[in-house]
Amino acid sequence: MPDQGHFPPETLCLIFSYLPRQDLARCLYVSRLWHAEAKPQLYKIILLVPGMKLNRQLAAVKDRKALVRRVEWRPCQYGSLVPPADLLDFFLDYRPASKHSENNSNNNKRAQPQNCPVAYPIPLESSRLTLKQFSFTGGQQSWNLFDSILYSLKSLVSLDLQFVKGNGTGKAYVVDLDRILTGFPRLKHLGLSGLMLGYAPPRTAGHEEDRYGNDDEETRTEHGLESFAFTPLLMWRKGPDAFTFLERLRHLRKIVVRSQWNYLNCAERAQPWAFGRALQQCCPKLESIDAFGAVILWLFDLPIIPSDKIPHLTSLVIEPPPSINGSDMLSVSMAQKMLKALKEDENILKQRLQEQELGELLEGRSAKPFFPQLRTLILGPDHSLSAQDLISLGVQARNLTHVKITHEMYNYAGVWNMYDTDAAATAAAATAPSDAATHHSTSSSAVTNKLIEDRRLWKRRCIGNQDVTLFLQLCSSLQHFSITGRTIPFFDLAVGDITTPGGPGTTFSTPGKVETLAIHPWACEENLQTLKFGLSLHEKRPKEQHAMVWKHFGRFQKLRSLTLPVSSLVPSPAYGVEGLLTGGGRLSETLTEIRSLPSWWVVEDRREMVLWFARSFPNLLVLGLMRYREKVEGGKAEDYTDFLEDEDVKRCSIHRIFIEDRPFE
Amino acid sequence: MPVILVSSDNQDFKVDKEVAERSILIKNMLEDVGESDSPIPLPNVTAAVLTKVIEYCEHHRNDPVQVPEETDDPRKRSNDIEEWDMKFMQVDQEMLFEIILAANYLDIKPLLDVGCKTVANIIKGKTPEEIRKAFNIVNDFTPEEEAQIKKENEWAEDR
Repeated sequence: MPDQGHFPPETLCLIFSYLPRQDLARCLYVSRLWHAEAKPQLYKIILLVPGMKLNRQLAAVKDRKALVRRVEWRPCQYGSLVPPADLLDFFLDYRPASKHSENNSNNNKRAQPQNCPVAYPIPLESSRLTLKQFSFTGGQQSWNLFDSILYSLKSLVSLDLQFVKGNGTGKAYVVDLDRILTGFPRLKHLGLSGLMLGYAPPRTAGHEEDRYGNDDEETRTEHGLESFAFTPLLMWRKGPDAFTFLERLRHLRKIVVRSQWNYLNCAERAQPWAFGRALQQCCPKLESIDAFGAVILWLFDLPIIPSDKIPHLTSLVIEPPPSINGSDMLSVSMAQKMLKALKEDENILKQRLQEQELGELLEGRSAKPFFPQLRTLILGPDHSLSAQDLISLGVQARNLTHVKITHEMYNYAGVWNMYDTDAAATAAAATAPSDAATHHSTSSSAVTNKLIEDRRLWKRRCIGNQDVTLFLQLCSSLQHFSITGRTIPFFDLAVGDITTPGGPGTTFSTPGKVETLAIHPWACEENLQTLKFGLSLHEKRPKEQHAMVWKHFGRFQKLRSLTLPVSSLVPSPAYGVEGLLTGGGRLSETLTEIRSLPSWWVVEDRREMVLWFARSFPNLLVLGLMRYREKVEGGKAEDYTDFLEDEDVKRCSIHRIFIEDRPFE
Repeated sequence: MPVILVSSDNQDFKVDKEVAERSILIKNMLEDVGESDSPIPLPNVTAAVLTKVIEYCEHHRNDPVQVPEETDDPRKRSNDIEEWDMKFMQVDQEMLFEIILAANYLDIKPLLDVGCKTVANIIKGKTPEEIRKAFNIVNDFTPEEEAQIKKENEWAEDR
C-alpha cells in the first residue's frame, strides 16, 4: 500500500480547507508534514465570538498574525469580552498608552486626522496587510472600538458589516459609503446589513471640505468594487445626488438586497425609478441581482409611448362626439361616455390593449438591453418585479442563465400603482404639440393625459401565471429556472403561441377550448438544465392534458434536474408519462435528478411507477417522491411508501429514492 | 474532433476534444500544438485511473468553467458533493488517492475539489491515531513536540 497520507502539500492544503476547526486541530498531531500544512489553515480564519477561548486564542495568534486572512469579530451583547488593548494589538500590532510606545514616539509622530471620530488614536502606519477579509457583527457598545480599527485595515478585499441591536440607545450606525470606498481601495466585496444601520447622506458635488480630508476628486474616482450587498434604506435616499455613489461603481457585477422592512414602509419611501435608472446608467457590467423581502427595485424603465402612437387611444380621442367644443362640462361628459364605452367593450378593448402592449414589449427585442451582462436574477417573496419587467427581460436578456423567482408578490395596488410623475409629464409635454388631439380643448388633452397615466399604471402589474409562460417562451438563454410559492395552472401553461401578436393562436386563451389547446415550446428548450416548476392540473382532468405536459417536459435537450413542487400531475403510463421520452428531447440521457414527483395517486401503482423511471432513465440517480398524507380522523394516516422496501425497488438503478415531506423550500 | 490520450501503461484513449479540455493541462497543450492529431502522452496516469478521469470529464463536459474569486468565503464545506460525484467517488482509498493526484497533475479543478472533499469527509471526526491508520501514516513526532503542539493549539480543540 502506498503512503496515501503523502499527498502533495498543495493538495493537502486544499483538503484541509474543507475541514472545520476541531478536525484541523486534530490533523496537527498526525505527522510533521500534516502539521506544516494544517497550521496555516488553522490560523487563516480567526473567529472572535463569545464562548470561544478568546484570550488563549489571541495569545496563540499573537506570533502568527501573518497567517490570518479572515477575521470574524462578533462582540457579545454587552461589549467585547477581550480588553480593547488586546484587540488593537491583534488587529493593528498596536498597544495604546504604554510607556514603551511613548519612548518610540518618533516613529509615531505622523499627524492624526483631527476630526476623525475615533475613540482610540491609531498610528497611521498601523495596517495589517495580510488581512484580506473582515466581518463584524455587533451592537452599539462596540462601535467606537470597531471604528478605530476598521479604517486601518487598508488591505481588505472583503468587508461584511452587520449592525444589530445591543443594549445601547437604539441609534443606528451611520455608514459613509464614500469613506469606505476611499478607505479600502482594493475592496471587491462590501456587505452591509442589520436593522441598526443607516447611510450617511450623499455628498453634494462641490462640497467645500470633506470631513476626512478627502478632496472631492478622490470621492469621485472609480472603484473596483464588484459585489455589493445593502439594505433597502440605501434606496430611500432622496435628492439629485442620492445615487451618485453608483457612478464610482462602474465595475459592479453583483448586488444583493436583503430587506427586513415592512413592505408598505418600503414602498412609501423607495425611489425605484431613480435607483433603477442610476443602476442602468452607471453599472453596465451588472451580472447578478439577488433580492429578498420587501425590495422596491424596478429594473426596466418602460418608455412612455406618445399618445398619437397608441392607435386605440388615438381613435378614442380623434372620434369624439361632434358636440364637443371645449367646455369643462362637455369634456366631463366625454370622459363619461368614454368610460361607458370602455365598460361596454371592455373585453375587446382589453384584448387590444394586451396585443398592443405585447407588441411594444416585443419591439424591445431590437432595443439596447438595459443590463446586457445580466446572468442571474433571484427574487424572494415580496419582490416588486412587474410582469412587464419580466417580459422585457425575456425579450432583451441575452446572457440570462439563472432565474429563481418566488411567485409571491405583495399584491397591494398602492405599490404597483407607483409611477414616475416626471416621466409622465415629460412625455405629455413632448407629445402635446404634435398630438392628434391638439385641436381639441385643453381639457380634452387632460383626458388624454389621464388615459396615458392610466395606461402607465397598467404598465406595472404583478406577474401573472401567463406572464411566466410568456417569459419562458421568450428567453432562450435560460439554463436554470425555478419558480416557487405558487403553482401554475395548466390553462396558463397551455396558452399557445403568445409571442407573435396577430398570429394564429394569439392572445391569452380562455379555459374550455380544449380542441385548440397546445403548449407552445419554450425558447430555452435547448439550454435548460434544471427546472423547478409547480404545475396544477387536476387528477380528474382529461388524461390527454397530463400527457401534453409530460410531452412538453420531454422536449428539453439538456435537462438534468426536474423538480415539480406541489404539482398534481400524474406520472403514470395511463397519463402519458412516456412523453418525457418521446417529446423530442434527450431526457433519457441527461436526466439525473427528479424531485417532488407526485406520488400519492391511489389509482396508480407507485411501485411500478418508480421502476418505470429506473428503466427509462439509466442516468437517474435521485428520485424524490412527494408524500401526500391524508388526514385520517383519530386513525393513522395511510402510508403509501412501504413499497420502497421492496427488493426490486431497492436494487433498481436509481441511487437514492426518498420521500419528501416539505412541499417548498 | 477526437483527441488521443496515452496512459503511462501505453493504452490509447480516444475522447472528444471538449471532454479532454476539461483538463487545463491538455487544453494548454492542444493550444500550443495547434491542429494536430498526434497522441498526447500522460506519463503520470495509469489506464485504470485515466478511465475514471475520462468518465468524470464526460459527465461534466457541459459544466461552466469555475472562476475562483478572492472574496470567496474561505470556509468551505465538504458536504455539498453532487449525487453523481458522490457515487463516482465511491472507490477504494488507493484509487481515490490516484484520482486526486491525476486531477492535480492534469489540472482538473472540479475533480480535485471533489476528491479533496471526499478525503476531508474521511478525516472528519477521527482522532489523530485513527487518521494515521486510515492513511497509513507514521507518527514522526517526539512526545515533547506533541506536548508543544497541544500547548499552542488547545484553544482550537473542541469548544
